[in-house]
Amino acid sequence: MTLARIKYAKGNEIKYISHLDFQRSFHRLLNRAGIDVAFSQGFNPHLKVSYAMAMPVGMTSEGEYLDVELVAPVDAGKLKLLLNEHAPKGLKIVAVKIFEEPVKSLASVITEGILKVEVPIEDDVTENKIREVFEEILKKDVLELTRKNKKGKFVTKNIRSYIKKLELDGVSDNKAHVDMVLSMGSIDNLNPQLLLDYMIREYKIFKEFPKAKIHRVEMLVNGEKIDLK
Amino acid sequence: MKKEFLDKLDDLLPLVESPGRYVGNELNVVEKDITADTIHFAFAFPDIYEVGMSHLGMKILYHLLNEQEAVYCERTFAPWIDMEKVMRENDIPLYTLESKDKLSDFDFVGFTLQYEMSFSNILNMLDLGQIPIFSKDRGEEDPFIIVGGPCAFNTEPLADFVDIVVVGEAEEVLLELIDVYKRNKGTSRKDLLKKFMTLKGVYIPSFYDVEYNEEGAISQVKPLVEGAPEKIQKRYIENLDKVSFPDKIILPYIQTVHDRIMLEVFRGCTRGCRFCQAGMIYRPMREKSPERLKEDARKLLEATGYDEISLSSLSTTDYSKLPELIHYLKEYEEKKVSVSLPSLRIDTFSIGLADELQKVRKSGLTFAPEAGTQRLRDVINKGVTEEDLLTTVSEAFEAGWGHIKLYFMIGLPTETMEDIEGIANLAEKVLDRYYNTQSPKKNRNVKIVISTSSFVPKVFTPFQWEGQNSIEEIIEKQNYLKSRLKNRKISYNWHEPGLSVLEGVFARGDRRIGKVLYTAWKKGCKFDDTREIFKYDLWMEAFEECGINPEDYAQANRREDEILPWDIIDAGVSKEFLLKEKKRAFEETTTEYCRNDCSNCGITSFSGRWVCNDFGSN
Repeated sequence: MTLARIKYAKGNEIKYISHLDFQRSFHRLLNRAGIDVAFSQGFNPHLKVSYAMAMPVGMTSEGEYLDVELVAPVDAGKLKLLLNEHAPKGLKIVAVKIFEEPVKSLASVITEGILKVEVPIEDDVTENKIREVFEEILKKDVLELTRKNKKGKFVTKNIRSYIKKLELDGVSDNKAHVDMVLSMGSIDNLNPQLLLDYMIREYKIFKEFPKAKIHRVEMLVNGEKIDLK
Repeated sequence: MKKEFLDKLDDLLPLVESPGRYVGNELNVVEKDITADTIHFAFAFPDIYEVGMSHLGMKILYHLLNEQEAVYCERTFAPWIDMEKVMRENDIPLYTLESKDKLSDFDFVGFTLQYEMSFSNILNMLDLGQIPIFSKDRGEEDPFIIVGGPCAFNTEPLADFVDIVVVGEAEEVLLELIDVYKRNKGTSRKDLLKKFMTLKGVYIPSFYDVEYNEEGAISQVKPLVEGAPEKIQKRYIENLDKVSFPDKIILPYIQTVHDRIMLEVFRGCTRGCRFCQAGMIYRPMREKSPERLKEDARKLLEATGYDEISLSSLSTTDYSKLPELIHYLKEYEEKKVSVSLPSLRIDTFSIGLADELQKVRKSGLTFAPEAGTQRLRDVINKGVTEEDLLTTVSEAFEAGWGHIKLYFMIGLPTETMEDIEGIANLAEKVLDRYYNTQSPKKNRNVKIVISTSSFVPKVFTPFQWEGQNSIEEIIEKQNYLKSRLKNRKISYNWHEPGLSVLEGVFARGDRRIGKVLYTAWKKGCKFDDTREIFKYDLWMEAFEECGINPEDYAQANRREDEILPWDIIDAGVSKEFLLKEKKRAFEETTTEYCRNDCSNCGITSFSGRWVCNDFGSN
């Protein structure tokens, strides 16, 4: 079996596309590029493509990953070229690596995400004030946040340890540029919007509207970058 | 050009449902530089993105217009309620998805009229686009509002709001219009309209005045401009192989209603069902060659990556080269490209075809017997017998299908409760055929879905003079049918009766209905065909305020000798033919299909040189 691990970027042009719509669009890209992708068996055969992480509507990224199971071995460089040639605006293939032996699915190994967030700050809030709030949050042992789970039930969890990094990069145009590293993946996961909502609610440093712009820079496996060399 | 509302938009889009509807950037979108010479055409679909992007006509005209160097055609759709609110609160005008220019900056804004219940959305989109609602209020700087599509065969209810009507198939006449515009830039609006008026298929409603007699019928239609034609002849494309069909279509990200490649195998229909407007106004039947269709399929698969092709037309199983085409398209099967037929003729040939196409997953089959008794099927000239239907479904059950959907109309002329009873009886007989099926492939799940729409008489059909049922009558019939369909394996869907009555008013409406439309829109009516949004009460208020009784339009029979509001249009089928067909309907006499015997509908004398039934080696 041949597996192509693909790193891609999702730009502004397609940030409002839902994950489901993106999946469908990527499958059509594979068709256009004429890539022979393996199909699942059964009544309703579908292309064997698996995504590391779903991406919320509105977010951009330069560090997304997916795996495609191929029918026959393909050259990584050629595959990258073909896909970029047929890609829609806003989608860019950054790197491709071919595996000839089974590898663990990305979804099961991803642990953290590096994020850049641009969020409007409340009037009269200074840079120092924001830094103070960040420090206070990082000093906490317990930080309990409540969210609705997939079944519609409210669950409360201590997510303090999910915040690996929370740093102010600077302020411009009344917007704070925040660098974050948060737990992400199938084990521990913290949605950056949830953390922002907490700071909006509890510390009143950020505005709820306009919505923060969230950009994923990279996904990590236990703090390490994914190697596609 | 920087648009001040774009930054605002980026902040606001996260607040609305499906923001992808409002951004564009799809694959195969046409991008052009806009210069002072660009003829800027906005193709406006008066419904949401998912509906509009499913429409084949829009794809055809978008690419046809953009093939012209001088033209830039862009798209716009009706914003959903939440987006409209955001736009109005933040002074964001209705814009096109490509350049994000606002509608009022265009040279032409073209609306496609697919169904009457989208008319309120047209007024709303004009308003959101900052274009004067009334044609008379538009000045030299305003765009021309141009409309086409099936409802363009009676645009009288829209006469006060639109500037130009294109009657019939638009591919050729649109280019002629553009050409006239190009050659006469700088000419006054009125003079341009006079020049457009000379093109065959173009109707300028403001060039006519309509007078009514005491009974409320039209007494005369007076041309207000010298040379305004007495009759507007519809346009149609003689050779579909030679007309532009896109080799690239926009690939939406959002799942649209028909999210697949649509190949148009023919236009028109040879069947002659007496209720069917499309079957009349799109005459003559013209097929596309399988060679051209194969070429279209290949190019579109390459350009989109779609894995489904639908063969579209009014009755695809009537395509004379269907086996050949399907045989070819099956070569794509190994690439997991599936082929689907939108509806099936009621015969075993169709089951054989469907069996070939739905090898793996037998999802469901849809048939349209239209009426419950043989008598009524003869009235509407639906040449299908009960035996045809039962043999067909038996075959389907034997081949492994279990889910059968049957379409009927209620409220057809001459209908009695016996005919409604007939629908229930037919449903039960179909179910019986399932239980009698002895086949190793027999499906374990059986489901019969009965779906009824309410008959609405449409212009240029033999029933154009007939009144339709009142809401009370429709409800009574629906309730009766509900009470008769008690088997748990049979389910029943029906249409909103209030909507059907309103549709009837507009389908056969005259210019006086325009003020009802305006009043209802002012009251907040829009998206009328969406059940949760349709406001029947507001519509009735609007009728009352305008002093118009909807029953006079929907339920009343028209006299055969009266001047009908749509008489100014020549749809190709003659009034004599329609009257003859009406008479035969009430005599319960069927008329042969065109393919078997010509019934002299008038289309050959209309076009002068057209020869029907020339399907080559058939």
